[in-house]
Amino acid sequence: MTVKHAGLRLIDEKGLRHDGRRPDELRPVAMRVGVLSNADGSALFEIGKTKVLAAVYGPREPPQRHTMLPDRAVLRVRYHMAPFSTMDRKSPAPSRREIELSKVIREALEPVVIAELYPRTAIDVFVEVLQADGGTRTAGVTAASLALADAGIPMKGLVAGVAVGKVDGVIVLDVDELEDSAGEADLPIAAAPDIGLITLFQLNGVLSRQELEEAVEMGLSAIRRLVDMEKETLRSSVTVMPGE
Amino acid sequence: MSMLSRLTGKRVEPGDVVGVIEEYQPGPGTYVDDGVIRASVMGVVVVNESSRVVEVRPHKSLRTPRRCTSALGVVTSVRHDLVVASLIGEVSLKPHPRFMGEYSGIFDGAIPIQLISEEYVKDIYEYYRVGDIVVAKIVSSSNPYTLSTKGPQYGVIYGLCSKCGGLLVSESNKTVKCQSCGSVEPRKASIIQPTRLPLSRLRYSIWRR
Repeated sequence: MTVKHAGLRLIDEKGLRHDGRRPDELRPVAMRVGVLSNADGSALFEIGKTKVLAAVYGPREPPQRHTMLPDRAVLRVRYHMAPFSTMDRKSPAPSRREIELSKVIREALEPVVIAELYPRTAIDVFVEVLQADGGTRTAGVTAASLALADAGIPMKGLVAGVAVGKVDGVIVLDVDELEDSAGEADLPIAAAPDIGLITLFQLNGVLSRQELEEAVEMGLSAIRRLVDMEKETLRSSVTVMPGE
Repeated sequence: MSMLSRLTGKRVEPGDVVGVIEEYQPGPGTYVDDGVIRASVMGVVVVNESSRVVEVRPHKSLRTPRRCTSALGVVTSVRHDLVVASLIGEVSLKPHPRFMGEYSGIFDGAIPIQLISEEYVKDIYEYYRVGDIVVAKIVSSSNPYTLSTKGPQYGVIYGLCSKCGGLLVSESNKTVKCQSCGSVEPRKASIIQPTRLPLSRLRYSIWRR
């Protein structure tokens, strides 16, 4: 079956996608940390045309003291899309989708942040989508993980995310906006490969058991590569380390 | 030479393996996952062969108020039995007063009247006023932090004159004097000279709030 979207075939005769990528190929990735001086930690993550900025503050005392927990830090995440991030202006007010994605990203980070070390505090993570072209929630998780590591917040491992999808009956890695809207399935995954933990797993659409296994394998191997890039980015962000 | 001795000085990121519990104790900057010691922060591995501890010295250390350390803060309210201060950063008093760095956020601390001074405090307003910058010792380990200013090094290091707004400098351990108009006000003054601490940075921290 060939799915068409505005007269465009998503997989051509050579098996390549509409932007020339192979099915198991990521879009070009760029990562930078320490991009904001006022935040304790920050990161800019780009994957194709998707650009996400993350800022981390804390551990600090939350203004609403009742939100503090006596045994650990509270992780507070805000996912927000800038009004200029999409083709049509997006209202800057938090939408239902953004509130949900804030929760999803928080739950993707909570298993790796060692929050027990900072009781009665809050760690604030702000994820700002500057430009959206699909895969913003997984890009948000990746950017937030880098920003947390940049802030020096103890973590069990670095997290990265990627969305796997199915277009024209083919399992493809890192779906963009077009493939997401015209494709048959979308499967965002985030994981901490160092400790073998999947922290985000959603599926929109229908996949057979075999396709799901193929998609998860493809996603996890891409996440491994993204985490290696995160480590390289963090390493190169530091010029002189103490004790060297 | 064991594998871990070779790890000393190696740069690691969160999740990297730095040892196993059969061989070493997990130190600061590490955690144990299924018998494997992993780094929890970005930094450099330090293996202490005599104490058998492996730790990761973080590149960026998070500073939060700790018990038995000294903190720099600004008084935000004075009640008849309590002084509340916002703690901004850590101060080291030995060998000489030095600002160690800002905390990862601003934390609240309270000086109960019995911990203000070694002497009997009859009127708390003769010891602290709102806006005073103080050096205090943290005596509790959890938030909200209890502070003590017993001892000559603790107390007000910087304040503003209530008459002209000039800089108040300690004159004795119980009084401060305005450098512009010469007015003398009662305070629990610290012997630390304000020039010892980065006041411009402190003013910025307070202003930023």
